[in-house]
Amino acid sequence: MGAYILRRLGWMVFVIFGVMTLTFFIARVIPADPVAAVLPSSAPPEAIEKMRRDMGLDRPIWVQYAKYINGILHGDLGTSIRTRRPVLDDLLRYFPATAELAVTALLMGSIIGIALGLISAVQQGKFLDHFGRMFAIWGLSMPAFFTGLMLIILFSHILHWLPQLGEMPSYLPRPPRVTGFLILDTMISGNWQLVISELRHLILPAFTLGWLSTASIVRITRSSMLEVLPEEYIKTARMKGLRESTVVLKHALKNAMLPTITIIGLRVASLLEGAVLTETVFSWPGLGRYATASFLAVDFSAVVGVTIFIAFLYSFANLAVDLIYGYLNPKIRYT
Amino acid sequence: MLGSITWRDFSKHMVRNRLSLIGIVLILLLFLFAAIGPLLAPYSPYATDPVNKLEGPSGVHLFGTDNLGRDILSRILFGARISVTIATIVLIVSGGVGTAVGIVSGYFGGKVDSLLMRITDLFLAFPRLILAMAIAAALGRNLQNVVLAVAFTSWTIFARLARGQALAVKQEVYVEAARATGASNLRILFVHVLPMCLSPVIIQGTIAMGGIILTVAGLGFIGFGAQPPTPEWGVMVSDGRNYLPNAWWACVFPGVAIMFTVLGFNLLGDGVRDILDPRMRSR
Amino acid sequence: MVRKLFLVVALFALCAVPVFSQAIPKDTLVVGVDTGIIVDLEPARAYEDITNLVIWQIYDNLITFEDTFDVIEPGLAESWEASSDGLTWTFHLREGAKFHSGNEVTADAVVFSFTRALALNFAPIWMLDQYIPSAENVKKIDDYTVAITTTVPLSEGLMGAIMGVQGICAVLDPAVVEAHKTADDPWANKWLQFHDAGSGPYKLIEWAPNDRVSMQRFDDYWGGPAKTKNVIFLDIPERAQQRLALESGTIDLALNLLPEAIEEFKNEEGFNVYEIPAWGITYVAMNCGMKPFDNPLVRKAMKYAINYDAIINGIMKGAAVVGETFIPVGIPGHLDATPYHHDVQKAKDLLAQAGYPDGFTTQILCQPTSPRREIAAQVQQDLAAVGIKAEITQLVSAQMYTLYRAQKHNIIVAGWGVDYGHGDSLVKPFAHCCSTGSDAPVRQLAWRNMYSNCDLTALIDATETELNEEKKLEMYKQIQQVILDDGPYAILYYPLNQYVANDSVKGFVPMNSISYIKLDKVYKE
Repeated sequence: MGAYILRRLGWMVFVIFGVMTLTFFIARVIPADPVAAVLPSSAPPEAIEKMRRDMGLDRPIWVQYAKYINGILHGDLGTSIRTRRPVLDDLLRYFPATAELAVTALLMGSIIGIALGLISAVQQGKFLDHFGRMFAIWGLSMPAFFTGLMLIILFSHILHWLPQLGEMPSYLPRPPRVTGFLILDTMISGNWQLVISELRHLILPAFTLGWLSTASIVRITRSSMLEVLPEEYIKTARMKGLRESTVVLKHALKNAMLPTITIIGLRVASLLEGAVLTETVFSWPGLGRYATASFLAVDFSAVVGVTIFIAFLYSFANLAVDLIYGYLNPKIRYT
Repeated sequence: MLGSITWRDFSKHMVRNRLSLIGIVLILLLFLFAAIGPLLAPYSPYATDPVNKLEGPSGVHLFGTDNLGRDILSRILFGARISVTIATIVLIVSGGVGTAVGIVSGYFGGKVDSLLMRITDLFLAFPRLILAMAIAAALGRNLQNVVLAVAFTSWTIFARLARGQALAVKQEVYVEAARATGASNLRILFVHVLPMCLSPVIIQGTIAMGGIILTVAGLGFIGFGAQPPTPEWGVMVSDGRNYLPNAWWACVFPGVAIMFTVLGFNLLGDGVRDILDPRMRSR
Repeated sequence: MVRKLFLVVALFALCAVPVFSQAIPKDTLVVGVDTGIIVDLEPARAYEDITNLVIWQIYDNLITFEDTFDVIEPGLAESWEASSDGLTWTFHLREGAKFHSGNEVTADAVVFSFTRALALNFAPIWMLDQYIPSAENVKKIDDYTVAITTTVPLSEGLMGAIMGVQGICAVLDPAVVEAHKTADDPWANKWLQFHDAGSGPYKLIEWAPNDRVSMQRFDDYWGGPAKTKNVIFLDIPERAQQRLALESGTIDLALNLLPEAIEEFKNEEGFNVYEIPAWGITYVAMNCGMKPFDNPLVRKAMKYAINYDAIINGIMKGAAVVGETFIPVGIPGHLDATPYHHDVQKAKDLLAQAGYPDGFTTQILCQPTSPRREIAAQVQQDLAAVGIKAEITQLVSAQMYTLYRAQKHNIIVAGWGVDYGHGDSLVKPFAHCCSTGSDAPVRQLAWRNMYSNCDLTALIDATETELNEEKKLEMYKQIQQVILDDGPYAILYYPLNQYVANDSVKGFVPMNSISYIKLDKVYKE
């Protein structure tokens, strides 16, 4: 097992290295000058030249690449041209907000997905089955930004049930930054009213993001349940006189969960993608916004930094899922 | 996997599944509009009329006008053709490249297989949208490059599929026979291996269509997309969103168009997966 | 298991209970704005509008502006006078002005601040060092008197405009800066990215990038405490969201609404719209180095081909005023002349005269944002009507400016933001160009568009040494006239700054430049 983990980690390093090199050179191929765009149009050419020199962009590309690799080995992902801060600082600053969003989205999507999949399986062929699957597939059929905007208009603008944007109320300053995770920091500061308000602010964006995942979760739960339900031990449990809900929930669901968990794990990666589209709409200060802004500004270091970071999270999530799966399913042996 | 189901069984199952039936209908409608949409359009999708900008749905403009006074219905009809074209090209390119890589990898095995699969894994390590953004940013923002960018990120799944098929076919007797009679590898690949890959690749293509259209729309939303005045749906949604909620038609109608299109492909894909899922068939 | 389910549902239901009331408390002003453009709050680097807006609340300059740029008001300096040769301006500081730290503002602080800005040498320094090249030029006379010597004599208007530039000419608290310096950061640059060392009406509580800027009233402000205790700049990049936020009361004041939304708010109860011409010029420029734009008749034809009305009333929906000269209204030196209007026949005649009776093919460059791309689409249509076939290329700023600065474009739709409130900031960029090579001393718009006019350039150089303000402004008008007739720009309009606030907001004064809005007199009822 240990050897397997090591091999996977080694593979991860290779992948990230490849991703980084690929992005690094793609980014430099662009006939764009991020420095010129960062400074206002009135900036004299001398100022642009100076900034380019300060950022080391006038050196040949191989030198830049070597410097960059050297930096990475020392934990330095370069400096963003757009924000003038170390890219690593920026990534660490924006990551918690996206993490909170992604985790909540995954939770929501999973709970709803499993529930719908369950109902679909139990009600196979009937109306609720079709409804459940349609609902899930519908969520997968809309661009995330469209979904977000429509939900905001419905639940915030028309119904006034939920907050419209942001992580917290508009008129308060943020609580002191301790962990970087807003909800944790708010709890630490003891303002429980604010914590609940922040949870409310999470609902719409998390649902928008999570809805994308429900489709595959519904499908896998449904098919796993359909496989498990006709099994002998289920029939036995029914004959023993147990209530149907106990049979379904305690016995069937538990055994059907294994493949579902794998699928849930795989959705982590696509959540990061969805975040790119959702965060702008909800004014959510996370990685998605940072990524979008960096790509639009062709901010070399930030582009490469973000890509590496996301590739890392992606690979890490896949590894974690595989390990959890291996742990839960004794039939799998990783050598 | 597919060998045990005939096309007749396939269509029978598909029609019986109500959801995939809806999907098929939607897709047929899409192709219909892609084909004759431009003939049905009451206005030119490029004719601006700033005086009548952002007019609501009316007898004159069924879906209203956008921020430059252009008729939204006409733009949506023309956009159908664009979406279908983009998605088809992406599928052909990524399907072609992926299949090629896959069959070479599976058939030759050994070091070649190892290397190609490692490269495939590398691409899989990228979240699709991010990689597409990076490529579109690098190559420039126009429709052709978006197509390339999305194709670049979609080929891996076909590669895996084709490789699996190639591995299976490699063992077959007739392939051994062909080799024995001196047929070149290239010939074997084209005549024997490739045909076996077509079905699964096409099927996977249908399943992937929805995601491809969404990725293209997503890129259009961020700003890497078609250039004006091309009436691509994703760009229309992105433009229109500035005028919500009052002039909602500029954003909602193209968004709904995307929704029904992707829904159609997803329902179809879902039905297909149902049929292919061994767990389903046992009933 | 079912019990657990109930618990989960109950938790979600709990979250549906509105815990915070929607209304913003009276002591807080929430401003909705796209803060994405803020790089950091280091004053010596502040260049963008919104950054300057924030800086202007936190820091003071020697002088300030109340509601117009025609009058220079006392800031940290109570009075000032020029030497007889006009090369030295002496400023008398007011006594008792305090920094947020409690330290007093003295001449030492002024000298320190200018020394620091010049030493750091960030991009906006050109505005200062074009006339004040080194720290030697800023001298302390006594604790409350500073003398600033310039390379050329500055008229009062120009001096005020320069001293009023936010950030670079802000006065920083030397003690605070010293306390946060490090070995490789002797000017505390890193610390000042997120903190303040100012004396302004508001203290910076926190800047959370992409989220909000929180500020609180400085009670010991020399001008009297601000009327509203808390100010929050809330980041809302999505236009529709900013509008919804204003309507729902999530924000009090919106700074980035689109003209369509502004139109509707004009008719809506409970909101006030504030409009004022902005310090900006939106123009279509032609590269004189690319045929056929080297022909002045072709350039003139273009100026008649464009449908200005459709752009101002159609696209901008009235959020712009007609303006065809490059010094906008409201800035000293503005020439009020609008000779061009949409005339298809005249354009065609001029083209025929120039030798292009059947038009020609060309390319339009623009950014993929509103309203630039709509304007480009309109221009494309207008040009088609006179026989010119134009293809539009949309590029992000990064790429567009690269091409533009390399003089590789044909036609470009772009805008220019005014750097400081005097014609001086515009004549050089728009008109100064003799050589179009890399040896040119000024490589701004005239140079980018390869418009070489050595006589005009000489005239511009002459304005530098003109001490008489009136004569200077006259020369500016002459320069604008030449550019109007012969230049490479079809100037479309000066945009209107439009802001919407709800009824409870009082005392808000819009300024020609958004960055000069002072919020300390704003209160809520």
